[in-house]
Formats: sequence, structure tokens, C-alpha cells
Amino acid sequence: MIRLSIPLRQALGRLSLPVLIAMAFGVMLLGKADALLVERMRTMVTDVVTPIWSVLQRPVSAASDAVTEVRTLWNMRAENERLRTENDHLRRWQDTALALEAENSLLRRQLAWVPEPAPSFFTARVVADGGGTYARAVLLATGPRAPVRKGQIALDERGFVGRVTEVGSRSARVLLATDINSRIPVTFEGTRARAIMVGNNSARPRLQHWPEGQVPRDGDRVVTSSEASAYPAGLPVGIVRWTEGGVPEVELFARLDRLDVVRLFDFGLQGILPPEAVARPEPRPGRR
Amino acid sequence: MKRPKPGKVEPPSGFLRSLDNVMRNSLPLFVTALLAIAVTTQDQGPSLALPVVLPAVFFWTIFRPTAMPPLAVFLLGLLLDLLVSPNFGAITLCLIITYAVVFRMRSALQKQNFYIIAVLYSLVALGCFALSWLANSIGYFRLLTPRFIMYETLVSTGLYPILALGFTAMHKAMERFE
Repeated sequence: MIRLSIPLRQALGRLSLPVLIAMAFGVMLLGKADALLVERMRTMVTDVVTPIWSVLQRPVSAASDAVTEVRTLWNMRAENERLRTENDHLRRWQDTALALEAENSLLRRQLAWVPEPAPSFFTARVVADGGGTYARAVLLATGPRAPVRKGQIALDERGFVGRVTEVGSRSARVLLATDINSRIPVTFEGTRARAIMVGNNSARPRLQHWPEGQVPRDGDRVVTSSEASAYPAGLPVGIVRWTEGGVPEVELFARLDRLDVVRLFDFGLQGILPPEAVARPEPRPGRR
Repeated sequence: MKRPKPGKVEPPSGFLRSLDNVMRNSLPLFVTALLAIAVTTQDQGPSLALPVVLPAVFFWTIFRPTAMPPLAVFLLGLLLDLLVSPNFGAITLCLIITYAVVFRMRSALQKQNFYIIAVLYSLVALGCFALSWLANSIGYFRLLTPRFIMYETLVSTGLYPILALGFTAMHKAMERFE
């Protein structure tokens, strides 16, 4: 070990803080200058930290479950009343759905309809809101040989969540539909009119670019559109809600604030993928 | 005849002793890093990472500066930047500047009682989160909404007494082994 004289050591000690402050400025500049390098470093760190997150996630989710449980017990009476009303409502819908299903299968038989193949999916646990380049993104623990690919669609048990933007060796990042960078082509189920759902980092993304004269109506169901081959058509997204300020927003079906597990569907689509500046490039075929 | 009181166990010498010292001194850094990783789990909305790490950096800088040297603060900032910050480098810059300020004030702060330190901490936290807002605004080339400064300051100030109690117990335990 190198032994330094006391005055030299004191001088180095005095210098270390200004040098580190200058380095911190340098780090900020590096983040702006080489986003790809920073993104690779982020993926490396999240790969290392993902096992720790997986372990820590259990007590954290146990604690949050306990809080939710207490809140549920508190609201049980009102919730029961609401559920009874909703149940009556849903029973009527079930009757309608059963009748429609029977009619649909009858018509399909008449048309010799070829059913679409069921897409393959992979289930992954959400371990953290990895942050990274995006403000609204989640990190999934995927394991080393998981069939995860950039561009896959993430759904929770209720509806559309987002799309895979980065894939590490043990983790993958999903850009949520609420992120400011998210643009999703959607269709209104009632009118079949198309629009773009634009994330704004709040809980409800906004709607833009609908055809003239086909203004989205409050309560319309919103599903994905297959425009630009980025998403398959018909995945449930949410319901149109107009704000008091006169802006149409989408109340998402998926519960993005409490994602535990998501399913990653591979629809084999090669539509618009995130820019290379923020994500690892795909290996060229034949070079694996 | 009265038996003499047992003395302290003689500490190991040479390499083992220095290893022991290094491990003991790096404990606060590991605990802080683990805290940072823990709060980034399932954390939606404004990140809690900086409000949780700042009390740790503040406490150890005042009461055990050898356990929180500037390089450790820099590395902690870098870890947080890689884990949660969309604007890479902003947290590192805020942490190291806050560290520099607290380090200069540490001898005066050591003499104060817990309540005064907690009040002073809230001022330091306010400064740090205002700096973070400024760094992020510069990083994004637009003025961001300053409403999170107050939110983060309140959360961090609220967390300080709880974390400081744990850190004090840890500090005393470390002193017992020295």
C-alpha cells in the first residue's frame, strides 16, 4: 500500500470534493451526449439489482396488501351494495352475451369461418418501476431464457398495459401507456373511428387525431387498432371520459398503479419499435 | 477475594483488524444503498429514492464522516441515477453538492440537539430538492413544475426522525465494537 505524507493527504482530501462536483457535471453531460451508453449501463445495473428487487418485492407487496385489506374491510358495506347493483346489471349483460355468442357461432358455422390462432404469451412478475429513460415504465424479472422480445405487448388481467422497449438478460422494461412517450393507435368500439391515445405521465392518457365529425363520446369503449402493424386490433384499452376542461381522456382498464404480474403476448408484429438511441439494437439474423 | 472485571477482548491485529474496520465503516453505505434499492421496488409516482437516501447521507456526514466519504456519496448518486432518474446525473450532482454543504457545517451541527438537527435537515432537504428541480429543468431544457419540491421535502423531513433513530442505534453499536 502506498503511504502518503500527511500534507499531501490533506491536499488530496481538500481537492476530492471539487473534483467530484466537476465529475457530477460531467456525468450529466455524458447522459445527454451518449444516451445509448447510459441505457446500456442502466440495463446492466437493473440486471444486477433485479434479484434483490425480487426478494424485496415480497415483503413490500405483503405490506401494501395488508393496507389494501384494511381499506377493503373499512369499505365493505358500501362495496357490497355497489357490487349487488353491478351484479344485477352484469347478469342482464350475461344473458345478452350468451344469446349473442349462440348467434355468433351459428353465423360462423354458416360462413365456414377460420378462427384466429391463439397468441403465445409469457407471464412475468413486475419487480420495480425501473424508471430509466421513461417516467412511466415498469421492470419485469424475466429470467435468463425467457422468450421476451422488444415490441411484445403487455396486458394485465383487465387490459392493455404497454409495450416492451428494452430487454436485458434477466429483465425487461415495459413502457406504460401512460408515459409521455407513448402513442397508441386506438379504435372506438361504438363508431369504429380511429384515434391516437397519447400518454401524458398522468393516470389518464389523452385522445388526439380522431376523424372530423366523429368526436369520441363519453363512455365509448376504446380498443387497440392494427394501424402501422404495431398492435393487434381489438385489445381492450379503456373507456372515453371527457374532462371538465373539455379534453377527451381514456380511463384505462388496466390497473397501472398496482401491477403485480403482466402477460407478454407475442403477436409476431414488427411495427414501429422504440428508437435505437434508447434501446439495445436487435441482433441481425444469422449472427446469433 | 473479588474477581477483577473482565476487560475488552483484544481486537485482532494486522490485516484482519483493517478488514474489520473497512467492513464496519462501509456498513452505512451498504445499508443506504439497500434502502435505495428497496424503495425503488413497486414505487409508482414521484420516486422516493432521493428523499430516503438524503437523510442517510446527512446523518452519516455529520456523525461519522469516515463512513460516508465523498466518493461513496458520488457512487450512491450514480446508483440512484441509473435506477430511477430519467435525467442521468442530476441526483449525483444534488447529492454531492448537498454533501459538500453539510460537511462544512458538520462541526456546528454535531453540538446541536436532535430537534434542532431535524429542523436544519428540513432546510437542507428543501435546498437539495430545489437544486434537483433546477438540474432537471436544465436537463430537459424547460421549466418543470416545482410542486414536487415541497412534496419531496415533506416526505424526507418526515422520514428523517425514523431513519435517524435506526442510524443512531447502528452508530452506537459500531462504537461499541471500536
